[in-house]
Amino acid sequence: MAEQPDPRRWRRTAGSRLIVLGVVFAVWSVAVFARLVDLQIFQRAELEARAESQRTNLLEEPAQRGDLLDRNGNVLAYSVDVDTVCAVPSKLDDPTQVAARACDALGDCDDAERAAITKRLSRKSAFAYVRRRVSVDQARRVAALKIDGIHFIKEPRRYYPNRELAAHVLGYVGSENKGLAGLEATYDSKLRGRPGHILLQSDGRKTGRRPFSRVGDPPVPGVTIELTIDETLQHLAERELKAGVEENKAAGGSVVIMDPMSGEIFALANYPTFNPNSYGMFPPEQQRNRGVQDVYEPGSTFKIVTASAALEEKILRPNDVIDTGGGVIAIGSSRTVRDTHAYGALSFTDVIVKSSNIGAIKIGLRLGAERLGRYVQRFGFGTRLSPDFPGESAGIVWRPAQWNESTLASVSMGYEIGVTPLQMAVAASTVANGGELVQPRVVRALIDGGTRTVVPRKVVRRVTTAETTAEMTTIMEGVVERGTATLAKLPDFTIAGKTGTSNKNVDGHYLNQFNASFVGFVPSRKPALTILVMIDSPHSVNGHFGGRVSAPIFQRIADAALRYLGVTPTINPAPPVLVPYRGTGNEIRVAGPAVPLTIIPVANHSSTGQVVLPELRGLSGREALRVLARLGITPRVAGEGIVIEQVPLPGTALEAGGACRLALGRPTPGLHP
Amino acid sequence: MHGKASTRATFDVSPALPPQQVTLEVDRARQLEYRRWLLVGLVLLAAALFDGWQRSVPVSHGYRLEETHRARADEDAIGRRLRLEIASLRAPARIEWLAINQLHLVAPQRNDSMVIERVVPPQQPPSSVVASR
Repeated sequence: MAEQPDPRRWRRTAGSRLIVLGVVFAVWSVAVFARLVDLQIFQRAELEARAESQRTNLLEEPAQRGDLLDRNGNVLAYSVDVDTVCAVPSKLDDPTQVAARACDALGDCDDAERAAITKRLSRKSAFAYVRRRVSVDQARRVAALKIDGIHFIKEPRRYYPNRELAAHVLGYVGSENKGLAGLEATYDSKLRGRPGHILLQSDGRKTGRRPFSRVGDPPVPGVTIELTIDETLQHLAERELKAGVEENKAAGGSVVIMDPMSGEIFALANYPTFNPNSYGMFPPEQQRNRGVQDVYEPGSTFKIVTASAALEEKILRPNDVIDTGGGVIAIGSSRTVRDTHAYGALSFTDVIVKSSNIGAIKIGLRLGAERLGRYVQRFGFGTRLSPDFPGESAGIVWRPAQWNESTLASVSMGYEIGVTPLQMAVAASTVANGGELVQPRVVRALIDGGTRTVVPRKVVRRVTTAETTAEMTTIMEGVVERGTATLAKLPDFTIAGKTGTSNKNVDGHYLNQFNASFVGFVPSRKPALTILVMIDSPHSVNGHFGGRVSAPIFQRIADAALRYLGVTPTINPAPPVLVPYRGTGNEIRVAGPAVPLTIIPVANHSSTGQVVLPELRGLSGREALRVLARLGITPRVAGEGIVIEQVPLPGTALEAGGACRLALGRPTPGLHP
Repeated sequence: MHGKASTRATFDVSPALPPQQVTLEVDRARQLEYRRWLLVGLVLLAAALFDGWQRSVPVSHGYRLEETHRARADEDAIGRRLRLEIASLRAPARIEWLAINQLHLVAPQRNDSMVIERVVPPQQPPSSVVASR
């Protein structure tokens, strides 16, 4: 008979197994718990940091560099984000082949660049540039290659849409978006703005991680700078300067056009010039801003200073006679100065009109070194005049105490003194504006976050009285009318100016090369423009005199500039016409700063519920919208700036809720409407 | 076989026993307790769902915002590029070149234009001023 199973044995087996299971479960639970404690307490900080770094990404977002605008709001320098082609060399199988394909797609690689790219891609590093800041087409062609290991990043690139226009004034920025020359360098800290820091939180996907949260400090864009430069006048100056330099087979030249009253520089042109979009391709010689960096002996244009000093000090009057003898004067025992002609006895006026060196020396000798030196300094020579040009030269002026008789004679006729074209233009402007030395400038306003801060006119000092400048103006009119600058004459305008021709001094030796210059202001009795033309080493059949080389260039520039600005002729002007105020043409004086505010009459609500439309022209767009909103009229706005046209015209009765069309525009370029 | 059969218990249903009527009593207190716990459970579940929802919504909105942000940045970049292109097209040197070489225009000569001084009539005074005179 078989032994009966003991039912308690089963219970013992199950019980022992349950105990084992329980122990295992308990150990497992303790292990899990211990691990959790380890992860959540002991390793918490490290793991949190690791998770944070995987989930979040702190980016520095570059600020948009401020724009450079001309006085009418036209863009002169502008930044755009462009693609930079990068690579992960360690991912590339055949760097040489990749470099070859990338170069073919870029389209303009030379052998040197191809070799450089191949070298960079062969380093097996984690990052390498293929080429920075490529064009849109180039980026598209490289992207079409679909090479694994090639990607793109965005970088800002500075563009100068007018290419060479005002290149020396604007300057350029380097590869790290830092201003290296011109205004880009002077105002780099303002233009650059402040980069932002963005904390991006993204999901954990391996590919194509998508950010879902963005917090932080956004970038502050740079200040936009509105210049006094007028794009059209600048183009005009550059065009005529280039033509003048080529016609006279010269080495180069400069033109300065400025407003003698405010000191605003409308144009500063130099030739040869360069394209700031590709500044690296031009030699430093072409990148030099001759207008403010080149120092030259001004020659007879400097007689403006000598004559002004003599008149101001009442040493001589315009009709006083000066004997220039036979056109020769001995200075000391070893030096003789000759005039081109033997003029004999000349009036003070004619000394300047005929540009007699002997006469100028005699005026200088009567003034003396101390007094002439004082006026040289008062006219701004020997000091940097403008805060806007980083490399501006102060010129070369010896201390009057060190002047001997020979130096005094030389300075009187514009030798042994070094000036810049800008300094000479400012000196002529001082005569034009009634005797005040006004600081020249190219920055008109700074626009920061919608706030426009105007750079005010700055009078450095009074140099001469208005009476002296009036006499000088008459004398300088004679220079153009019957003197050395008849080729500068315009049939419709009176012009005051002075020619200058000086030997070039290189390393202390005078060469048989000349600087031919002309500086003048027009219209002479109500000056709108001061224009200086300086031509370096002319070699053509026109000769080398300022009156034959530079005066015609002045004439062409002045003619076109005055017509562009709509300056009314001063000789035989057409009778003025009375025109209705329609907000077109050069009568839009609301654009000028000195125009009184437009009066807005209280709206008349007629008995029929109609609204009489007020005068809105001259108001800013915002003010006009406010007025219309108050009247319950729907505005339809086109353009930006100031209201220059409104339809219907003021005084028209409109039903409430009717529409009024406003055309907004920028100020007219002329400062003297 | 016999042994096995002998261990099997047999139960006889006595027909003498009348079938008992089973009466289910409604335990109100327990039911109330049960509903209360059910409600608590539902509330907790709802809270958990709401918590999950309110955590996920900002994230999904974040994705949408980020996409909008990127789209806006792209549009801004296109806008800036277009503005640059306009500025390039409006360059005076380019316009002059086109005018002279393609359209064969010539610059106006001095006699072709005349600048006439315009005299603008004074502004009309406000009606209130007129009325007060």
